[in-house]
Amino acid sequence: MPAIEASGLCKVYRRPVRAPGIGGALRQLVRPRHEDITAVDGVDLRIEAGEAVGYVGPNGAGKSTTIKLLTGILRPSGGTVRVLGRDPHRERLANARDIAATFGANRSQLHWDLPLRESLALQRDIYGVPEARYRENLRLCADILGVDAFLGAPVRQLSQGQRVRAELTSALVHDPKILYLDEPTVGLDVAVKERLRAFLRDLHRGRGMTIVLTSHDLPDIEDVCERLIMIDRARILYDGSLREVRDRFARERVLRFQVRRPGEPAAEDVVAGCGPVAARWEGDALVVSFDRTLAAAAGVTAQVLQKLDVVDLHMDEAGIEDVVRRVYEGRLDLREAERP
Amino acid sequence: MKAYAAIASRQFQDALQYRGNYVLGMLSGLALVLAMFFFWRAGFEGRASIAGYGWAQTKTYLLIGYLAGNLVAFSAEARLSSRIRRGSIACDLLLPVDFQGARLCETLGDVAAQGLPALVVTVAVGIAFAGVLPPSGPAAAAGAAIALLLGVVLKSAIVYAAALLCFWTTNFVGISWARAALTNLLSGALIPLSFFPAGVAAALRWLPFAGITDTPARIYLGQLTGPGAVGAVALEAAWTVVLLLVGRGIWRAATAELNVHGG
Ligand SMILES: Nc1ncnc2c1ncn2[C@@H]1O[C@H](COP(=O)(O)OP(=O)(O)O)[C@@H](O)[C@H]1O
Ligand SMILES: [Mg+2]
Repeated sequence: MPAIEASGLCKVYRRPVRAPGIGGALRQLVRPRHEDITAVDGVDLRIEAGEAVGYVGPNGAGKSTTIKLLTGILRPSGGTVRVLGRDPHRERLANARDIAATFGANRSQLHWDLPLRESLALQRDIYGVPEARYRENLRLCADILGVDAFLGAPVRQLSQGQRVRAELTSALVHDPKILYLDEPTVGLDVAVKERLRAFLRDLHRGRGMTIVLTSHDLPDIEDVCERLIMIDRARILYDGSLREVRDRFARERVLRFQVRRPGEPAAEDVVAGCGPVAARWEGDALVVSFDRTLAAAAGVTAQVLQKLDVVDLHMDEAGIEDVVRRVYEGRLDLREAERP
Repeated sequence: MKAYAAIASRQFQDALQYRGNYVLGMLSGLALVLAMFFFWRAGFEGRASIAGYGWAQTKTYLLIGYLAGNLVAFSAEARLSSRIRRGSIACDLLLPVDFQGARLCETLGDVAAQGLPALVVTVAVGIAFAGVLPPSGPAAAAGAAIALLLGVVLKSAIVYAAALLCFWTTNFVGISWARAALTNLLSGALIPLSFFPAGVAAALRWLPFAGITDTPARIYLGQLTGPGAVGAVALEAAWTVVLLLVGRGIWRAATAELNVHGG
């Protein structure tokens, strides 16, 4: 049985459309008008227990809505979802015992005015977690996330980064089997991001937790997940191995040689014989780009150093970020590209 | 079950911490009570009773009505609607507890920490210094207590159902005002129901609102005793069940096509 299974999943929101002003308000009262917004459109998913999946897409693509459907918060307008064999909306209470989710810092399960410790204790009591287990879970979060430093502070006094860590700690109190994280790193500084990713990696690899993570910060996903799902405008564009995407589509390497006397000889002549590489002059630099599986940076560099008076050297490697950007800009269709 | 006890006890502790706010709210409401007292005292000018009520009885009825109305603090309503409007309800739905049950437990926690102590103290002070009548007997005191507690659940059920309308409208203030005006007028909190024409009063006593004020106040005063009192409490209990079910129905309708507000 897969941990999560969805087929033809749809969610249509109805939103009242109202002309501006009092007239609009009155008209809306007499004859309400609505527009339908399809936030999730025919999504098929199959996620096995123990997988870590990154859900990527631009703003408004339908990521949060998908998470809300999978957690049972929203009822699908069409299609079916099963989570650990249950319908998460109809069997919400049973499903809630097995899952946890965080929705960024302003959607909180934590009591604003209470010391964090008390919010966590309430969570423990609601789920009936045995005291020993509770302490163990808390210790884990204290060790890696450092939450023990602010257990006594009211949640409203916590910084954004502290609050995200607090949310995560609260979500883990009852040992969920599946953890959904909606944009967990928004607004965090680099150090906290790093910590959080390390922690998630540990949950996934060490404890075998199933993780579904949405983000538009791709390094989050590269660090934690093996599988990538890209969505845009409510539909899935790609679903597959993250490494495969990187290996197949993120191969470009760019070398930038800053030289003392730019412009000559012709760029092609400098790299002649290096294999399938492209070169051009850009200001005071010679820019050479090539597929890293077809040419080696070492060979190219050796030849350029021989022919030019190089002052400085810089290398850029295409990441998954470029691939995703190319896909969203419509310059790359992964499904097309996959076909032989 | 332990989960619900935990929610109630959490809210109890919270409410204790914010007792100051509650007392402040009560004091500001006191202006209204005083205005009502002076209004009705003017009504009693030159006559001993209205519709069989003496001044002391009227005073007692109104005080109980005011306190009963305050048992379920306004904060319960505001809390629920702001959860809906701000979308943090999404997080409540992640918990393995029934939403209505959890909200009811919160209200009970509030009542135990704030409303009930305020009621007992105010009535005691009123009896000692302001000519408010004591309960007409031990049975009346017990009966009034039962009717009051049931009234708390009943009013919570009304508040819950009304606040859920925020799923469809953003005008919480309007809903809340309409709800409060209706409850105050029809429960007897502003005008003792007996002061209405007999037919109207009888009709109003079949409605759910009477259970919040009129039933406990009349049991307390000894106007409703024996089978009459039992019947009124039974009606109150029946309405409580019905309104809790109505709340569940609205909840189901809301979550079926629900757009949890916000992204
Ligand atoms: N409660 C709602 N009511 C109406 N439309 C909504 C609501 N929530 C989201 N939407 C719309 O649904 C689409 C998908 O939103 P969302 O799932 O939040 O996307 P993402 O999380 O990928 O940014 C957007 O067009 C958004 O405006
Ligand atoms: Mg989102």
